[in-house]
Amino acid sequence: MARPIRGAGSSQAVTRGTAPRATLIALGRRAALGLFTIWLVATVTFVLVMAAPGDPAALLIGEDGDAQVQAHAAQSFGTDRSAIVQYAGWIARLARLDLGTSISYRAPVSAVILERLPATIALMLPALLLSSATAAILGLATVPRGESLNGRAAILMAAIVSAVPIYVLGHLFILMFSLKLGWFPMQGLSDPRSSLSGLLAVVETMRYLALPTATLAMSQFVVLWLFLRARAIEEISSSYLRTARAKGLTLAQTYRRHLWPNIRLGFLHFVAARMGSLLAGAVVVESVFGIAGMGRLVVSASLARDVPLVTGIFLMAATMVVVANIAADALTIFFDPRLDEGERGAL
Amino acid sequence: MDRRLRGGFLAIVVLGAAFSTQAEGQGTLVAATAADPQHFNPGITTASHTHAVADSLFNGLVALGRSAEAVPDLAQSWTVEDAGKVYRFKLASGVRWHDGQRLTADDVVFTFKEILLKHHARTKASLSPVVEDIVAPDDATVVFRLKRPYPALLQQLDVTEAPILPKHLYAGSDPNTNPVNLKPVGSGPFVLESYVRDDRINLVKNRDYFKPGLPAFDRIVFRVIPDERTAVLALVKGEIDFLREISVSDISLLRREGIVLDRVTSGAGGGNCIMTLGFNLERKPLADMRVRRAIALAIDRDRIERDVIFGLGRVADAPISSGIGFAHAYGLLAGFTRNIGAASQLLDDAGLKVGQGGIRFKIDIAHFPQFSRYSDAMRQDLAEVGIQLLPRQLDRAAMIDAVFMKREFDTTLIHYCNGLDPEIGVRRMYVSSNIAKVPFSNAAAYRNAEVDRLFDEAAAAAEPAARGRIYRTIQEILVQDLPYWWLVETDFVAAHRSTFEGFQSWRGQFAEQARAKP
Repeated sequence: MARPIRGAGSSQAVTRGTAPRATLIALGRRAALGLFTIWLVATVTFVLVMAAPGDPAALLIGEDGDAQVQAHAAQSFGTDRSAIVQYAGWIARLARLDLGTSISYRAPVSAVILERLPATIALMLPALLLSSATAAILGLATVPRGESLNGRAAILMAAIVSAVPIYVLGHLFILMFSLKLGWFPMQGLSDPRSSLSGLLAVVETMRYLALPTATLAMSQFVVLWLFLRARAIEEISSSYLRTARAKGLTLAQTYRRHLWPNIRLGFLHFVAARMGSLLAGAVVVESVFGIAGMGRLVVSASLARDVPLVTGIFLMAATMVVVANIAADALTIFFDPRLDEGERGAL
Repeated sequence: MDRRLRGGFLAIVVLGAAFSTQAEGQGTLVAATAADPQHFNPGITTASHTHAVADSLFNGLVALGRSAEAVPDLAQSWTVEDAGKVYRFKLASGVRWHDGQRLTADDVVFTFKEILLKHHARTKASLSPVVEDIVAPDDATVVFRLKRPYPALLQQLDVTEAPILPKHLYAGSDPNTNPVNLKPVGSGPFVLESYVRDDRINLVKNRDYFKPGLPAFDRIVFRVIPDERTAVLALVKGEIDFLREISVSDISLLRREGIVLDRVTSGAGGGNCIMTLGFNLERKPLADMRVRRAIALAIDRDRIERDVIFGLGRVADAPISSGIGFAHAYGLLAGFTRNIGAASQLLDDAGLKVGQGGIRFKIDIAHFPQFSRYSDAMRQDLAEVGIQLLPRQLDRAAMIDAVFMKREFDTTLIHYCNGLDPEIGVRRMYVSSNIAKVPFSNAAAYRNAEVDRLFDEAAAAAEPAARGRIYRTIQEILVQDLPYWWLVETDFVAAHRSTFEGFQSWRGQFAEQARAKP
């Protein structure tokens, strides 16, 4: 009598032990694939920038040209060596976690990139949260009127907003809220004439971030909203929602307890997948509002044909996207009740 | 929820009001710059984004006045000897580097020999063929010995063309990679305090500046604002005070807002600039003079002056800019008024008959994206005589590659700056020795032995009148040969708030004499 019980117990223990390991192996596989992806992105970037017409040394020496001066500069920065030699050097340094030295800024690539992160995060993270939260609330709020006139009006408005280029949106905000109303500053992240510290400095930075964040969020939220709305409409006729309504829950309760948990994972993945678009939006927003972030760095580094810097940026960006995707997968595994342990292993 | 929203909104407005009433700091000038300087060594590059900031940290032997006359800077006086072949400069006394070391004639000699004549593309190109030697007989004297008389020398010794760098920090190093480039030690009116890449550069007053009473500002903050539109609006709102270069399309807005505009013929990248159409003479059908002449006759330059540069400049009336008075050939291009009939006749004579769709032939035009309004105007003009112009917008690196390295283009649009003397920015466009894989050299690949000879002759002549005669002869030949077509001379407009005065917007070191209005 005792044996089967012990057997059952041990088999259960085995299941508990192997399933997380399978999960870890799956995640490990994802991580390895992720590393390969990062290397591939960086290498393709390297090749593309090297193949782009133009010599960085010609840009370094300025508006005028001189063959000897250019040759001097090329020698100083090592751009006179062959592409293969440069790539080999880059890989060798990368193995020591060294991204090399930026040609245009004459400083370590990692320092040039890292110093941009605070501004970029301060811009992108609130924009991401703001746009997803607005999209989630509006998306659910507009579901019941799915095919009604209101719903169409909402979609029409969405189409209009998403058709306005970010550049124009940014300048509209500047004209309205900065120049006319004077509520917010129009460029930079702090006032060059005064130096605040502590809480005041934080509040001031928030004031400077208001318009750029709103611009970036506005450019993102429409797509997120439409995605969520479409998913919600797909689900709306499901029997589980009818049942929930039938048992007496209000519409709001039904959405919060039953509909939202079923669509939030898809939404999360969608948001993660749009990181690239968010970064692209940040390029424009940072230029319009004069913010020294990653977006602008990509542009200036590319125009300067600064191979180590462009490659470093794309390596970091690829890492961010890969990590975001793995994190989203991990969240799926741990939070999706529909995946039983076997499926988690297979993921 | 509603109330909370309203409360938050109110809080934002109140905070906004609280901050916007904060008074501006006394003696601080906020200037906008379009691109990051990337380093602070004006001796190893001619890039305008570096000079826009770094020129305020250094000095030249001379400074240049509004009409390019040399006035004392590090050199308090000078004499010209031996029929223009020797220049003797007496340095100002008591000049110190920002680190406290004395600036001597040794620094000047070192800077020219080891930095400028090797790494400053413009100065090397113009001075190395004429300089025999530069010596320092004593701590306060610098002597330039020239191979031949060279009257344009002084115009090439200001802080933009020839900034003097500290020997004790650069000797024995590769000036391209020397870390001092990021922690500059100059002699200029301002000292670098801090630098946040692509965001701002803080300069503070040099309290030991050798010119008494200067500078007036305690501090200059350069904000890097890449978007031209934002920079203009920030100037209107008062977030910034000075903008070195504005586009013509913003002029009326800024005037309306009471912003002071200063029209000058030179900008950070050079002076006396002519927007020029370059023909690739190695390609058919542009090798044919009649075709180039037809194109010149078909382009409506008056319309370019009116609609593209909004009157901010003038139709070019000679190959050399009117800003170089002694060399400019007034009215030489007067005969080239638009004449479609004559242009079509020339193309017929050249055997380029009108084909399908009214097109005789297609040619491309390589240019920077910001020049697309010019190529649009020319495309319409040339279509009327059956020439299809195909614009190719290229970024800086790709443009240099296509036009100067690979020579894969039919025509190109280049903003050639003549500088203050034909030796600086005219010669390079025309002499055959400058058909090279070098940016902004002789793009047309124009060869004329007579022109080569005359340029050498003009450079050696001492008398401005004699030089002028030779340059005018050169221009007559150029108009016969038409290796380029000179469209319009363009001016630059700097803008600043009316609470300031004394900016020298034509100089790299624009704020040495500027101050807040009393």
